[in-house]
This record gives sequence, structure tokens and C-alpha cells, in this order.
Amino acid sequence: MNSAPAAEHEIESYLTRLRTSLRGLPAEQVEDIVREIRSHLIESAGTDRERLTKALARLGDPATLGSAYRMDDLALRAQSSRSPLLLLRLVMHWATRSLEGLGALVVAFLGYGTALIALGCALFKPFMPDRVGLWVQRVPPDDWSFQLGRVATAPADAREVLGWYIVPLGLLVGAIALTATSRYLLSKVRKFRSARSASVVGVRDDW
Amino acid sequence: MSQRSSDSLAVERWEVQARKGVLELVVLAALWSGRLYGLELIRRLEGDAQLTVPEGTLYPLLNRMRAEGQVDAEWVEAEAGHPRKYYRLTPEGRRRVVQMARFWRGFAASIDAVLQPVLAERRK
Repeated sequence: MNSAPAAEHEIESYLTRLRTSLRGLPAEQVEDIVREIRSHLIESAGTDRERLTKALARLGDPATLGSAYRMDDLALRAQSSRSPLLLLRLVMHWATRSLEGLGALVVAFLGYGTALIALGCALFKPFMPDRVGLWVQRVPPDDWSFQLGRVATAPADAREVLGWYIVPLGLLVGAIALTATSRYLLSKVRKFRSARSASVVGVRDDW
Repeated sequence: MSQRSSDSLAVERWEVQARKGVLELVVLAALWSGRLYGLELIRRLEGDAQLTVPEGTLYPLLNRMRAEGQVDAEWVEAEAGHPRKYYRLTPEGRRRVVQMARFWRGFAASIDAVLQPVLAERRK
């Protein structure tokens, strides 16, 4: 049996799966990656099926390989743009893989959530001054209830305590929460990336 | 789990940690004296330094280093009949690897000094 077409077929089927998992990257980059992996496989195995099997095993699952490229791309864009959306997307991926990632995701939700509420209060106050604020209500005998944000109607017999101070205060708190959360996530991104790239420089044992 | 296998598991985990970051240094250093393509780089590391770098880790890393400006890449048509993607250090990559190598020298010397009594004890 001629093994050359079979080997070629196996290489192309690996590359097809790799290409699928690279979806989302610019087409030019996808072609470049696929071309490099093809060149690697041809060079390291030629038409020898046994060597090809080994070479494919060393490259690993095409989905995992593709996601390594995609995550690197996402991390790079998140780092250079500092965009909360990209950071959030990255941490969501990370959260599916590790407990530490899950922790980072919780912090991201709390931090960005706080920022969203605080900035929202500051921005909506000028347009609906009677319905945005912090209301405090005494609940007899000795309890208090708080309500912050935009309400449909101001709660009866509650006192709005911030007034127009909610605008500078909201901007300040929002900006601090936004920056602090992004900085925390960026430090996690660096850590995440070095942990990934660590996946092993081994000392040679025969393979 | 026996004491021994839990020990060796802990050491294995530590080893993975210890190898963190070394990968970048090793790859940049291998490119010091000239351009190499991926497989050539892997063989160089295995031959000269007895270090294995899994391809699934190396290729994304090279891609990332190129995006970060530490290496340049170019396609070259080889005599073999298929093109090869060659990597070479950029001036920034050269500066980076010099800094890393200096740090490594000092670091390794300090660790060696600390390890001396441990290893001397074992030899007895």
C-alpha cells in the first residue's frame, strides 16, 4: 500500500481541525499558522506514518493548539487596549480552566459591576434628578434600609441623602473601581500567560 | 497514596513551576547565533542542551514573541521543496536575552551556593 497519500490525508485532516479552532483570528494569520504547522509535519515525518503519528501526538490536540493561539491573541489585544470587555472575555475563558480563574471572574464581576452602578448614577442624575440617588429609610424599631440607583418613583417617606454630590462621587468611585479592576485583571493576565507558556521545557528522555 | 508517590508528585509540580519562564530564555538564546525554523530550533535544543520543548507549546510561543517584537519571521523556499518559516532575533530580542542571561547567571550561582550543603550531605 502506498502510504504517501494516506499520510498527506492525515496531515490535511489535522490542519482542517486546526483551522476550525483558529476561527476568529484574521484570515491571514490563520493561513500563516496552518502553513507553518504543515511545513513542520512534512519536515518531521515526510510520508512515514509512524513518525507522523508521533509528530501529531507531540503537537497535541488541534483544538488545544488552536486555542493556545487564540488565547495569546486575545491576551495581547486585552493588554494593549486595556479594554474591560476583552479582559472580561479572557477571564471567562480562564475561569473554565482553573479555580484561580474563577476567583478572578468573581472579582471582575464585582469590580466592573460597582463601576457600572457608580458611573450610571453619575450620568443619569442630570437627566432624572428626582429618580437617581441614595435613599435612606428608617424601619422601626431600629433598622435602616438603603436604596441606591435609579428608581421608578422615589420611595415614600425615605430621605435622599446625597443630592447632587452623587455626580462627583459616582464618577470618582466608578473611575477607581474601573481602573483597579482592570489593573488587577491585567496582572492576572500576565500570570496566566507565563503559567501557560511554562507548560514544560523538559529534560530529554527518549521519545 | 503512598508517601513516596505523593513526594514525587509534589516534586513534579514544583518542577513545572521551576520551568516557568525558562522557556522564553531558552528559545531566545537558541536564536542567538542565527535564524532557525521551528523544527531546527527543537532539534538544536534537544541536541545541544538535552531540553525538550513540546511543539504544541513552541509554535504558539514563537508566534507570540513575534507579535511582541522579540523575533522576526520570514518564509523561505527550501531546497526540500516546501517552504520553511525562519525566526531571528530583533534588536529588542537581543537586548532582552542578554538581560535574562545575566540574571540567570547570578541566580544560578546563588542557588548553587545554597544547595552545596544539601548535596554534600548526600554524598557521604
